[in-house]
Amino acid sequence: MTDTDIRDVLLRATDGLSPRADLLDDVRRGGRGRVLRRRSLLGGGVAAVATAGAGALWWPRDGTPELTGSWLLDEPTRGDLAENAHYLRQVRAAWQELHGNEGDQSVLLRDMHVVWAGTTPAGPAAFVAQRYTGAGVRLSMAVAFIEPTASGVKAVGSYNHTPGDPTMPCPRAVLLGPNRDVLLILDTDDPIRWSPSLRYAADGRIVRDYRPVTFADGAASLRVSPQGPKISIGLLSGTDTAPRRVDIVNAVEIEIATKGSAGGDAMHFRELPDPRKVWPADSEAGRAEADAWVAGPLRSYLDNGGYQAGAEAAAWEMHGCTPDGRRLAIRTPSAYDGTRRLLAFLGHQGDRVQVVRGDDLQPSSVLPIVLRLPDEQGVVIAGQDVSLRYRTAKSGWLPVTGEVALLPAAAARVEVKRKDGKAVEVNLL
Amino acid sequence: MSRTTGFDDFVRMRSTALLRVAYLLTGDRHAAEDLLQDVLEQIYVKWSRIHGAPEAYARRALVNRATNRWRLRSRRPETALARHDRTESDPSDDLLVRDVVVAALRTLPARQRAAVVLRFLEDLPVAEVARALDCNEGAVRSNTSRGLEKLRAALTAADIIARAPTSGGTR
Repeated sequence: MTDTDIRDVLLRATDGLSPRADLLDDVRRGGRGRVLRRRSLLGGGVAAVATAGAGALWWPRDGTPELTGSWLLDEPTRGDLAENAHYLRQVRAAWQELHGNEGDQSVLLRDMHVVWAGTTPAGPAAFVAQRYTGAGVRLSMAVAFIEPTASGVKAVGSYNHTPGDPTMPCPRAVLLGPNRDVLLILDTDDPIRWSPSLRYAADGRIVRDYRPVTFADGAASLRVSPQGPKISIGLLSGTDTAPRRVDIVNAVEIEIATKGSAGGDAMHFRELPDPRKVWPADSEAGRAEADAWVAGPLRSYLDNGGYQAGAEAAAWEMHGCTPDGRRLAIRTPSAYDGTRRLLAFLGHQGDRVQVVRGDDLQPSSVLPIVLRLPDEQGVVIAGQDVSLRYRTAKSGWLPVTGEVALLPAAAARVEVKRKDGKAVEVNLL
Repeated sequence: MSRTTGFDDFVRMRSTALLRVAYLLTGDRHAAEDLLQDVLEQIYVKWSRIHGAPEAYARRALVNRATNRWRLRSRRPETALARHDRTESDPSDDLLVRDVVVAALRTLPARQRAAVVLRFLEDLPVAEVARALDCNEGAVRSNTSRGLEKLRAALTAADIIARAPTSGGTR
């Protein structure tokens, strides 16, 4: 039986399977539902909400639960309120309010455990965890921060956590207080550093001053400037060479509650000329390889420890080949002010990658991307729903195929004709 | 450009392929639909924060969740695959292939199953499968090889290849 035979039977086994016609509607409804459920919890206006966050509660298909230990469940409660029976009752009540319905209780095992309970500048807060049923391989639990609100003690959503599963990490940080100016971080024995704000260097790179978080008795609470709609702080774990952002569980909700939107990140993926000369032949594989190739140099332009909402303008991602045979990739990371940077990455495979910053993306322009490359390698242009032609100082109008192009370095002007027939000339010099 | 335009395009373009992966990972049509919907909801919420190819993120989430064998709160009662998916247009041979393939895949450990499905249904390169499984390429090759060996044995025992129509083509 050949590999081709295997492919054929897998294809036949799935042939004819297609998603329900209403999948997209259901997904959008469900996705919005998650955000709104969490948002309603922020406002404290809705009781007895099932779950939100990284996923809903799951239950097993079959089998007997196999539970293993976790320090989140097995160690004594820490924090200066660990022995405060009155507060712990309030915490338990908040958890019950969130997960007290019969459906949730049927899958939750044993009692909820208060991992940490303590005093913060925003008032008393806690972090709780409860294991739930699962067939087989891993322990999973529902976890939540408990916060003080004007209407009492409430859970800040509820999140699935599966130790060892990178898609279901343990939430570790939350912003508390009516002004969201207290940052509470759970001590998970993993050094964390934080930065109160960011700034940009002249070349567009992000500069943050990180300092270590000092934990005491299971957590750290820090006074920060009021957060929202933008969140200026940054939180990182991991090493300098492999930093990992520590999620703030209510960052997205704060943006939504204060700004009305979590930003948008539509993306345009395009291929520039001759991608197959220097990238894998398959377009998807090329995209993936371009992602990996730019990841290192792009890191300096991303707020890796921050929580910026995506810019409203669509992002662009392109890859291709320069006339002298170098790899070329375009990325448009969003900046704190809501604009998008325009960056070109050039280099031969295995060599150092050169980064060129152009003018910021112009989303309202008929030609949002115009970037002249160094070394006479030409001008990258990109638009949507337009037809293009260009001219040099000495030539008449020359045709351009498609809406995305790498024009010769001699290109001086480009004419952009919209669908309505209106034409605009853009200077490229 | 609205927040959801890119997401809508992504779902429209990629949900069929992702559903087929989910189906072979779970072996159950409804479980696959629920799994896919849950992963897409997760992506919808995080859309503005997912850099690069969202499909790679989706595959990884599908594999993780299928591997962990957690199921989303049931939107429908779970049904065994068997004949449930029979439709008027389903030739009986295809149904048999489907049953045998799903039964054979169920005998594989989850990561071997995922490696085989991503390598041979999705035609992903080893490096991409490694990303989805969060492991190194050597582990992918090892899981694929072992999974293939078992799958070949199961399919041969069921005489499934002999029943397959001769397509004459390769993919």
